[in-house]
This record gives sequence, C-alpha cells and structure tokens, in this order.
Amino acid sequence: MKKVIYSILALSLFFTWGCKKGYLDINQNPNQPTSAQPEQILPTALNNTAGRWTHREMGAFWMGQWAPSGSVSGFTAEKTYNPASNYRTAIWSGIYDNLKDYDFVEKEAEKSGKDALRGIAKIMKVYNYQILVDTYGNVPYTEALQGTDVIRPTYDKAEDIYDDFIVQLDTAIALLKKPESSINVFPRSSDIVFGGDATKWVKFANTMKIKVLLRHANNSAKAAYIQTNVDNIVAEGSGFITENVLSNPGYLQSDGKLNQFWATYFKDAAGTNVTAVSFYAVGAYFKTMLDGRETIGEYRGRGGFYSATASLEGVTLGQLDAPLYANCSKFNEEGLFLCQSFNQDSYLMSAAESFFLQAEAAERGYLADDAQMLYNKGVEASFVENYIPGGYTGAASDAAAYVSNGEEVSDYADAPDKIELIITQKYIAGFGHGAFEAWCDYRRTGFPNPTALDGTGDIFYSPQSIFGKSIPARLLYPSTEEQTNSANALAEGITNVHTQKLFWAK
Amino acid sequence: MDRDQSFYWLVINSAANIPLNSYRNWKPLKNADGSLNYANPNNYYNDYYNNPWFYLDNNRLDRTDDFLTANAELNYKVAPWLNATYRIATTNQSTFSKAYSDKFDYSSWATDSVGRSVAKDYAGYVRDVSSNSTRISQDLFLTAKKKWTNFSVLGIVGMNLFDNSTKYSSVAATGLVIPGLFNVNNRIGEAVVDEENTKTRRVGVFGDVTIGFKDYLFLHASGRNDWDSRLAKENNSFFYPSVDLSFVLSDAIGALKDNKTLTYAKLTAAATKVGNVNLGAYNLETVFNGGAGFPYGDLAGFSVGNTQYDPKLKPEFTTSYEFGIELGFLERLNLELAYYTQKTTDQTVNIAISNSTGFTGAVINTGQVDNSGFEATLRGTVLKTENFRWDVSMNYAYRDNKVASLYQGLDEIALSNVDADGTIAAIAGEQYPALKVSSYKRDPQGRVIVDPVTGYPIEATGFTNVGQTNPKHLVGIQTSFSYKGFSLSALAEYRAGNVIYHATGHNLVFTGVAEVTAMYNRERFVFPNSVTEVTDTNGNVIDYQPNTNIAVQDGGLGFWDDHFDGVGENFVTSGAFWKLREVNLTYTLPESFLEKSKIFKGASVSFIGRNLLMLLPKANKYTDPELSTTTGNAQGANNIFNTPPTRMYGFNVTLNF
Repeated sequence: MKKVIYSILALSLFFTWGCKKGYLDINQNPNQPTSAQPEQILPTALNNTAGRWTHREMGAFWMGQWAPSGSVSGFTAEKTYNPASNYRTAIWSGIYDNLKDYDFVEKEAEKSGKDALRGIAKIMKVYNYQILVDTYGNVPYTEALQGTDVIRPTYDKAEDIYDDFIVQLDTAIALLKKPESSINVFPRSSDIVFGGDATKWVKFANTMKIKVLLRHANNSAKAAYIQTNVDNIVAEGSGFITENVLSNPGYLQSDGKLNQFWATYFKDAAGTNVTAVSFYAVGAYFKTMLDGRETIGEYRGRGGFYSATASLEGVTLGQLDAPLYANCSKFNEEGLFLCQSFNQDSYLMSAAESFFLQAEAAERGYLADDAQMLYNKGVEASFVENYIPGGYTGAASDAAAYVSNGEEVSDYADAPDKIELIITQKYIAGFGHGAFEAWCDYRRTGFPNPTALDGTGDIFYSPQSIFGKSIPARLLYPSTEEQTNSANALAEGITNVHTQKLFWAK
Repeated sequence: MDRDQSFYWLVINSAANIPLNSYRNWKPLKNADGSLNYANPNNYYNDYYNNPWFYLDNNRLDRTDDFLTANAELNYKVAPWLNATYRIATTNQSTFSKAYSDKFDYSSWATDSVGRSVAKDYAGYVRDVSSNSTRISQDLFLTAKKKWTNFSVLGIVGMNLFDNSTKYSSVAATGLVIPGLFNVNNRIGEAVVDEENTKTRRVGVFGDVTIGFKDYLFLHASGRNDWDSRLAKENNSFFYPSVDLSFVLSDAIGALKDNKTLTYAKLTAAATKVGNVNLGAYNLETVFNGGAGFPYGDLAGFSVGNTQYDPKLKPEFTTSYEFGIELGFLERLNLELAYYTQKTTDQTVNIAISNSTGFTGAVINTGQVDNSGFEATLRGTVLKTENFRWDVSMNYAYRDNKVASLYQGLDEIALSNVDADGTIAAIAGEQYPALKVSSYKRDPQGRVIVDPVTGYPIEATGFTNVGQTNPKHLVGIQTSFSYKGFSLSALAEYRAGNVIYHATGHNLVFTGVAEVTAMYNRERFVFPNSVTEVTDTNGNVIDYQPNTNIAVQDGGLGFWDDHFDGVGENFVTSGAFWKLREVNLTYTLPESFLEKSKIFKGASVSFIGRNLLMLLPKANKYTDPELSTTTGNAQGANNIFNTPPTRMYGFNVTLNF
C-alpha cells in the first residue's frame, strides 16, 4: 500500500510541476512588437503615401503623359480603356492599409494628448481618402478601419465623405494651432515631411481644403458652401502652402530603401536599370503639347521632363506600331526631373499645384486675390523645379517671359478660357507626380483633353480603345471587395466605368 | 513568389520547337568552334524569359538537417495490479541552409539590344539560415489491471507535459561583389537579417477506463483536460471526453458460436469529443511590422500588421458519433460497415477580410461544419492453395459535409484567394470547401452574352460557386497474389464528386501552350452558343438574340489572353481520377537457400512502381487533381509552382541478419 501512496505522490508532484505558476505563461511575443508609439508609425505611413505610384501611373497613362513603349506587351486594361475589377487593386488595398496606420496614429495621439500629431494624422487621412473617393466614388468611411469589430463596413456616399473632409481638416487645423507643451509634443524626426513645423501643416491643410472644395465647382448648389468655406480659410489667416510638400525618410542606396519612383521606374541599388525601365515612354500627347507651347530646346520639356534628343518619339497609349524603348522619348533617364538621384524627395503636392488651385479659386471668384498673379506664380514654381537640372539660374526670368509672351497657351491675359489655361498648366507642372490630379481635373473640367484630335490627324487616345474616346470616369470596386464584403459592394451597382461618373464629374 | 522564378514557367515560355535539352551547357559564351553558344544567357533566343537551365543552375539551395531523437521509459511495478510508467521523448532538429544565386553580368551587346527585357544583370544573392527546434514530451501514468471471473478492468490515470521551442535566424545579401563567393560578407548594400523564436507548452491530465464482461462486451471511457500556453488564461483549459462500447455477438450469443457461415460478428458504438489548439505561438495579439524600407539609418518606422488577431480565441472541438458492424463469413470474407456524424466547431482559420477594415486578414474561430458519411470495407481471399493465394480488399467511403454557420453570420469566408479569378471559400449552407470563380455573363438559357461591337464575351460581376473541392466518393481496391516466394500486389484508387481549379491554366493560356488556344487556329471566330443583348429605347435588356456573325475582334492574344485567361470558369474541371498508386513485386528467398550462408536469416528483393497510371476525365487536360497550392484547408487548386506529377520506379533489397 505504501508503494501505491508513493506512486500517487510522485504523480501529484509531477502535476504540481506542470501547474507551477508561469509554466504556461510564455505567450509574450519575442519577435515583433505588440505595441508601438504613434511617432514610430508616422514615418512609415508618410513614406508609404508619398511613395505610392500606381494611381499616378494610371493617371499618367490616361492623360497622355506616359505610354507603354513598344518594348512591352500588356497594359491591356489601359489600352482598351477597360479596367476590370482586378485592375490596380493596390490603389484600394494599399490606401486602406496606409489609412490604418494614420488611424492608429490619430487614436494613440488623442489618448496621449499629442494634438499636433493627431492633426497631422487627420490631414493625411483626408489626403488618402480623397484618392480613394476620386477613384471609386462611394467607399467605406465611417465604418472603416475597425478590423473585425465591423467586418463588413458599409459604403458612405462620396459627397458625405467630401463634406466630412472639410470638418476633419478644420479640426486638424485647430489641433495644430495649439501650443507645444510637455504633453503636446510636436513630432520632429518622425515628421519626414515638415519636421514638425505645425504652421506648414496648417498651410497644407488649407490647400487641401481648397482642393476638396474646388471639386464641387460644377455644382452650382454648392456655390454658397464653397464660398463660406473659402472665407473660413482666409479668416483662419495662415494662408496656403507656397513650397513643395515633400517627403524623405533619408533614402539610402540599398535595395528597398531607394526613392520609390527611382526604384520602380529607373534603377536598383547596384545602379542597374530595372526591367520596367523599358516599359515606359513619354506620351505623344504631352510631348506634342509641350513642344508646341515651349520653344524646342528651351523651358521645361526637353532636358527637363524628357530627354533632349529631338528624334525620339512620344508614344500614344495603345499605339499599334509603338516604337521600341530605345527610340522613345523617355522620362526615366539620368538627370531628368523625375530621375535626379536615388535619394530625391517624394511629392505629396507641389507648390505649383497649390498656386494653380488658388488661381482657379480666384478666377471662379471664391478668392479675392489676383488670379493672374497666382497663375504666374504657379508657372514660375514649375519652371524653377522642372528646369534642366544643373544650376541654371534663369528659371524665374524665363518664366516671367513665358507668361507675358502674348501666346494664348501661356499668357494669362491672352488666354480665351482662363480655367483651361490654369488646368492645362497645372497638368504640365504635375508631369508624373501630379498625374492622378490631372485625371481628376479632366473628369471635372474636361481640360486638357488627350482624346482631342491634333491638327495633323494624329489621335492621342488609344486606338485600341473599345470605348472610343471615353477615358474611364472611375474604377470598379476591386474583386477582393466582391469576395469579402460582397453585399455592400454589389449594392453600389457599379458596373460601368464610363457612364457611372463620380458626383463631382462634369 | 514571382512566377518568373518558376522553372516550369520558363519551360512553358519556350516555344515548342526549341530543343531545350541542347541548351544544357550555358556557361561558355562561344562554342569550341568559335561560333556563338546560344545557350548562354547573352545569346539565348528569348527576349523575355531566360534559359531554364541557366535558372536551374543559378538558383541553388543547400540544406542539412540533423536530427537527434531520444526516448527513455521507466516502469515500476507498484503492486501486482498496478504499474507506474514514466516516459520521456525528445526530438531535436537542427537545420542549416544556404540559398544562393550567382551574379551574372550581361554583355553590353545584350543589355543594349532593343526590347531584350530579359537582359538584366543578376546582382547575386545569398541567404544563410540556421534554425533549431526541440520538442520534449513527458508522460507519467499509472495503469491498474484487474480481472475477476466475468469482469476485467483496465484503468489509466496520468499526465503529459509537452514543450516545443524553435529558433530561426537568417542573414541575406541581395548583391554580391566577388562572383561565386556565397558569403554574406561578400555583399553590396545592407544585409537583410531576421530572427524568430517561439516557445509553446501544453499540460494534459487524462484518465481512461475499460470494463470488459466475459471477453465480448467492452465499455471504454476516457477524459482529458489540456492547458495550452497558446491561448489566453481564460480560454486555455479545455476538457474532452469519449465513450465507446463494443459487443462481439459471435461470442455472446450461443446460436452464433459455432455457426460455420457467419464466423464473426461485432457491433460498435462510439461518442467522441476531441479538442485541439490549431494556432501558432503569439497569435493572440496584432503585431507591428517594420515599415517598408525602415529603418532608414537612425529613423525607425513601424506599421500596424495586416492580420488581426483575436485575444479571445478558443480551442476547436470535433464531436462525433459512430456506429459500426463487422461481419466475418466462412473464415474468408470480412465486411465492415460504419456510419458517422461529426460536428466541428470553432475551427481556427485565417480568413481574408475586406481591406476597408484596415486589415487584410483575421485569425478567428469560425462557426460550425457538419460532416457525415459511411464507409464499407470488404476483404476476402479469392483463392487459396498450398502455394498460391489471391487476396482482394475493396473499400468505399462517402463523405458529405455542410457549413452550418460562420463567424459573425458571414455568408462566406475566403479561405484562400488562389488568384484574381478563383477563391476557395467556406459558404454558409454549402459544402466545404467551395470553389468560387469568375465566369461569363449568361442569359437565362445559359448562353454566353457577347459584346455586340467586339464579339468578346462579357464577364459576369461577382464570383460563382462551382462546387466543392473535396472528393465525395472514395474507392480503394487492393489486391495481392502470392506464389511460393513471389508476391505481387497492387493498389488502385478512385475519387470523385469534386471540382478542381487549375490556376496553372492561366499560365498555359498566357504562354499559348494551352491546347484550347489553338482551337480556332488563332483566327477570328464567333464565340460558340453566344447571344447579344437586345435593348429597348431606355437601354433596358428585353431579349437576347443568338450571335451568328459577330466574330471576336482578335482571335489571337486579344481573345485568349485578354478575354479567356481572365475567366476562372475556363480552368475548372472535375476532380475525378483513377490512379494505379502502387505495384509491388517481391521475391523472398527460401530459407533453405539462406541456411547455408549462416549470415542471413531472411532476404527479399522488391520492385516497386508508384503513380503508374492516372486516368482523368477528358475535360481535365491540365494535371493531377491532387496537386495543391497548400497543405491547409483551402484544397482544390494548383498553380505554376506545383511540380508536375512524377512516376516513380524503385527496388528494395531487404536483408535480415
């Protein structure tokens, strides 16, 4: 019997060992952090936003700024003007992924009383949501970004989201104007855009506001709303951004750490051209327009936007006999504006875009400033940044000459349609990094029109288009939404990217 | 994984008239006679895809695994009826691997050639991994055995400790300096480093009792409680019992005892619950990953992880009820029949969720899947003489299942998005797992609607459920003959009742090697059995008109690549197959022959052939339906990364000393 008792004792000892405190308490992740400070998230989020190119590339194709060279097949969706539900879904997935980071920053900053940081997160949420709305129309907004708490977010009306943008930007401005304190610590190194300069963020927010408001320009019912909010911007007093809004985390010459444009369209860390280099050419529409407007060899086109060799051709999207890359006019070549160095800054918005937005608001009567003066500043900003790199100092005087040369396509005083002039110069100034905005401007104003016929009988819209001259007005919801949020996605009834236009479209 | 890194992909991108085997020796730029060596990447004919041999030689993985296993068992007879046992088993696995590819610089002639997009220098790559895992399992239990005249009791009570730890670290370089030196120190750019450690533990306490009555009635019951470190404290303890009864009729009932025809009869019934934690370590909290490109020098950056984890995850349970009968006839024939129903709840799965939630996936406990089915096995000896024997065994299983409910009342859960045109999903009320694919838009009669201008078929919005991917019917036939020292056995299997998504088909169509793409000689054609929509003045569809004359705009790339390739239903076939899985011929040397040698006690030699024959339905022109992109739940799809099925021949020599 003793032995029986001993063996039972041994078993219970073993049991006690197994149940000793902490034996099972080993599930703390030793590999990845499970909590983070908002300042550690902000740089990733900003770098992601500024380095996103898929929506810009799409805009550049449709707006005739870029075209696939004859050295690559594919790009069928672009060439046929027929984007399906699996087309560039990274615009949707990438932006929501990015938004989740800003949302985290916003919420954590609110918890810890970091008002400035919270304001920055709000501005960047609007910046990203606006790309989503301008691409897809109605999208999940109020119920979005809540994980499995709301596993099937409903879609908000695009117009309601737009109205909330103004509310969010106003809140952001109020937060950013609060004084710095031991609690409201301004982000410094983690703010890879403005280094924690709250005033610049407020100016950027004001510029974002006018960008949002001008989308309503076609809607006369919104005129009073636009005026009230423009008046609010003026009353706020900080004004608009007058410099390029740029992001740079401190790019390094190492794979994965290069400037995203550089790494996607140009070279890898070893300095070798990436495969995709040969996929792209300058659009024939853009090249023809610029060659016609600006004396060959001067100003921004040759040497700035694209290579100086005059014999190289621009390509039309879908051109059936598109020249091979070597014979194309290129934008991704050493020293051009878009390819200056592996650590060049990434754009969120250019100073030129800010001036052209203001010029449009003034021309439409919402701003009391002189529209021509703002237009001239926009052109000057574009000349200064896009001029043939190499320390040329005559950009400002060349710009001054250009805007007073008496030509309809550059001199404000002589332009028959001021809005067309402003939007077209904005289109030129935003070559590449502003191409998505150009697609929005085209859908809103009809300017500039890459589907218009040229005098020589050339066409600049895709000859492979199965929808004639109709550039897509939106994208379909991505197929992943049909799979994971089908009831809400299908309820929107979006099946035609040409006829189902966005609420602000012309 | 990039498909350009698949050997198979490079092979199918070589035109059919290219004698690939003559491109084996790619290293020299020129042949011995001074002519250009066209196998060399600089001279290879294809502008877009490399010589597959070059790829094969230049992407290598060397790997060494060391295993150390040890077991020890201590038994102690406490009393004549009571035994104590302690067991410890440990397995240690150390793995070292080095994946590498050499740098290769193309000649400037190749890189400057217009349109030669393949001519991109290889920067070289090396990744050195070392990992180690240790599992230790310990059991301590008491076994009590007692027999009375009519009754016997066997009782076990004990405990199990299970401990698993892993360590993984890797260093990699994405650009090399000196060719052929595969060491991370020989790099340009920053090294890519990674480290991961895991530790999990489980404690189990169990009891098990079997009561027998007169050797023909047995009642068995067990219970076990586990505590698992992978779950939160509130959920980490779970209990699961089982009970079963077996009754040997042929021994119990007097009338059956000496029956010459029915020689054996047994009835069984069982109710079982099994609990399981199907989760890795640290899967309860959402993590922050290093942001893309970060750190940049001293600037750190993180990003909220894309998978949302639920801290309240629970173990999954399967409860099943089974009834069975086993009958033996004439000492020659044996029949087993079984029926079961099964309910699985709280399966832990990684599901895809809408990007607009801020995440791409979530690990959750999903609802309930009900299974039921029956199995029948018939075994018999057909012929038996002194020297010759022929045995046959046949079994058939029918499996049915249904998703009873899903997480948060979802209609469906995507288990795996195979590609842009196909998804494996769990759909409420449907069989599991279900295959959903993109499809053509059809009129009510099922005819495909084409665009009246282009003649191209129109794609329907949303995906269509085309059926389940697990086979419903499983048949197995095994037979063996033996004659003196020779024995010949064969195993054949049939499975059916499921569909398969051949994602590989997209690649075959894209490259133009798919047979279907040549159906119309790459000429324009009218899409068969198609219609166009007839609309009223308001643009509403009022009727459909058969399409007899609108040919597709382009019968080449335009149709096959742009309008056929992107429609998932074109790549769905029945998953049925007959397979001759194995044939085995063995000769055993007679003992009399071996006796003389005094060394060997037994010797045999076998010839084995595996996967010898596969019969597929005509529609399945692609591949073995058992190939899969995953070992997980989302069965039913293959892709370009699957190695094509292989036939295997071998032989075995067995010597006993």
